[in-house]
Amino acid sequence: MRPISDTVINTGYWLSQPLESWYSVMIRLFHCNPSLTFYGWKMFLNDNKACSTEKMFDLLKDLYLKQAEILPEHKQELERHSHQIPNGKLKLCQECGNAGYHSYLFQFPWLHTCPLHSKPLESLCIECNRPWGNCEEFFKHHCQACGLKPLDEYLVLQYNLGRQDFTGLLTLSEQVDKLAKSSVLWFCWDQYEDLVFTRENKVNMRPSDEDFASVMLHLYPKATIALEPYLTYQATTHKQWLVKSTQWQPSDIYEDCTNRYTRTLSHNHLCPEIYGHIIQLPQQMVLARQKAIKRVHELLSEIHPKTHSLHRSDISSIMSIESDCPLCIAFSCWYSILLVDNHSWYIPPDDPEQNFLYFDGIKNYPKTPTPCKYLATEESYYETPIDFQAFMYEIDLLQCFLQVYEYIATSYVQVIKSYPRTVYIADLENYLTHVKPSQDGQAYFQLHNHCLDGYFPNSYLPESFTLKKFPEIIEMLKKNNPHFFYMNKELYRDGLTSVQYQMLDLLFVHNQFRNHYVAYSHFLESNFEKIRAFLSRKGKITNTC
Amino acid sequence: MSKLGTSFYDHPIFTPQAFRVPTRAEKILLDQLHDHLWTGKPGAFFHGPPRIGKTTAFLNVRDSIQARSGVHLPALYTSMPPRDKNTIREVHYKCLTHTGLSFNRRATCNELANTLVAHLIELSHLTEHKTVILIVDEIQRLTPKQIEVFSELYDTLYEHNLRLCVFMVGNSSSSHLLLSDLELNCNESIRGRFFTEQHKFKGIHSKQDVEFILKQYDKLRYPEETGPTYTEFFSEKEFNNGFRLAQLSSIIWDTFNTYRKQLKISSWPAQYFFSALNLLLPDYLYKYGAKNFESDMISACIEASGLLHAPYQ
Repeated sequence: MRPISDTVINTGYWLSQPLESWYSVMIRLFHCNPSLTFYGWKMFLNDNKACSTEKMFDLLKDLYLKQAEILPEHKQELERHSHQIPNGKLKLCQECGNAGYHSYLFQFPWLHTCPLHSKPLESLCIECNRPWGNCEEFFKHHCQACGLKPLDEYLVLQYNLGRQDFTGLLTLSEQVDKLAKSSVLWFCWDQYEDLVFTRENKVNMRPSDEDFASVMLHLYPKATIALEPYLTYQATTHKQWLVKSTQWQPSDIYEDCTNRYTRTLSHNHLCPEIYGHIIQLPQQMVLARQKAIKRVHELLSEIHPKTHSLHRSDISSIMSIESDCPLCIAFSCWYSILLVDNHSWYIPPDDPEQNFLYFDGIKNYPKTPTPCKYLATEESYYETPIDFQAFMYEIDLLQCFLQVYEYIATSYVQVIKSYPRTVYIADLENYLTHVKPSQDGQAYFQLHNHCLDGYFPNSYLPESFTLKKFPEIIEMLKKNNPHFFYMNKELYRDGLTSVQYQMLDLLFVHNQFRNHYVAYSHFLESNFEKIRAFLSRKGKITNTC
Repeated sequence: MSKLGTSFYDHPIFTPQAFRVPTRAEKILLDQLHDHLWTGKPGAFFHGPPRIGKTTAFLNVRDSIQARSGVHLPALYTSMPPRDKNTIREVHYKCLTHTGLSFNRRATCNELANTLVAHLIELSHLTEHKTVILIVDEIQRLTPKQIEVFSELYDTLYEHNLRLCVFMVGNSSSSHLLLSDLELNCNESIRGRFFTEQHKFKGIHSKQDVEFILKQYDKLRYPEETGPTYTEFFSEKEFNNGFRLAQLSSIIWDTFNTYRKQLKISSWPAQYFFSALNLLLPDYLYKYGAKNFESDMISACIEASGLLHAPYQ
């Protein structure tokens, strides 16, 4: 129990609400000590000398933390968000403003609606049209809504606030916190291109097929039978589509140099630190990469011309770049991930500590697609034509970009929080401070009627894609389900050739993607003719042996 | 006289303002407070003669007040001063002064009251019992109107499902005026709430009380835990040979009894008792030893303590 003799102010800690910010705490302190005026606070806190409001806040924070020792977890939470003292830039809904409650989550630029009251988060009080958080005005009793209230009235408002359901806000915070856990982002820039990566700064995205469009190449027995004339049987039996099963022996070199995958051992002279696998890509796959990069790059260039500067820059200069957007950041990350060098593909070892963006909640995500594509059945697997692989690889790469972007868009504010380890994205906050609401490239959330809309820039993604309900966002964050991207077919159709459209239609449009594991055989059977036509156009499937 | 260095006079008995020895009266008082708390009563009035040790007793027990579960309950002590004008603001002001809270000295009565309410609510939330205790000393200096402040505080906390228990403390003789005022119908609510239960604080009024305190001298140590007991400090040899100060309780009480009859008092005021005892230890027991102890020595100490010139003789 706290000794009474130590008490110098009423802390009102018993009125503390979850996820409250310093603004909330200060409003409470002002209400619980009604006999102190604004000037009185300053004098009291600064040894009977006048001081600036900023200094007063700092002293008040120190004093509160000193006194709040009775609740260590409360103190811990406040210290975590101590940098979130907004002055004159608060966003609050009118209800929260009346009750004197403010959460640091409200300050996220993408949150426009109060999760507690489902009312818009505004920077001005509706009653007096003054910005929230102006403490001098607060003491002048001008506004009944945002000004100092009698204690009994304040207590009633606090009790009512305590009855609100904080579950949504807590869940959102929990998910956001997961993303905020320490992660080290290492990017490879052009200047390192020839050196591949050193072990200390390499990119480690785990290879995967299950998270990309190429997963569609899993077939089921019935479909295999239907497609049998077009497939060449491969003796080796595989039940899974894993990178492990596709490792080459030195003898596995195609005569046609354009179709050649060559494995380089990890202890080669170029990168002795790397103990994974480096695979030399066929020319078509390199072209597929370039096409994917070009496509995303062109899209970003349309949004704003500064796209180029980031991924071409050195890390040190990135820190000084202003006004960049999450898409550019995502592009830079993605671009760097792809370009181990322009002609190879790096398979990192299965070491969790070295996985890119590896931490709880987003284990092994985002992932990098495997370039070589096989048709896999429950009995066996088959290699597909190299141009078909290139096409699928391009699609996978685009999806990989969206995975990276999803990570960046959901975590950029949190990444900034832990900026000493991830300084590269620090300028995002600056960007978000200056960007106008209508400006392209801004990731945002819109929460109203329990729906969280937005999340991707309007200019980049079609409107239908951006409409997500709040619970779905939470669910998505929980599961980190990359298949969410498949929900919008338009994304993949845009900019593709007619043949690619056709294939995409087959893969995505006429199929319920979420059920693809179940519905594939049926899908393939019902679209057998189309698939056959498509494959016929691409020539015969070659044998892997 | 080797002990008569600086450390000798560092002993607590030479600093009366810091000297605290539990008395039997305090134990009884704590039991009475617990009885009230545990039976859900809103408060009580404790009265007794001046200088008998009421304030000291309340200050000593205030940090030992517990709920039935054994959880310590927060208690706020305040003492009312005499003023030319008996205002309600003065009560709030004085209470806040004792809390140690920072507040604007020119704040309105309402602002002071709200600050006090917020503080009491905060204290009450320190335990799961949601209870706070307010000890108001020198209650005889207040008017019934001023005492209504405590009713208001009680009601306000009650509205928030919290409990305020108010213990009023006053001098028996000077409280008559207040008590007779409270007998009026208009003050029925205050009387019913805080003055229905009245307890007389008796102080040291029997040989058992004296023995209880002397036993504390045989137990308490200086320096704490590692040092000798108080008795041992002043008579080391005798203490090691089995002498205990409590053995002198009869002779001390009997000596006081002669004065008691002469002074027509029922109990030995704590201030004078401790004053006499703390003279006895260094000036007689230490110098002459327990073997040579006589009642004359006690008489000398009692007279030196100032009891004979006490205001109520």
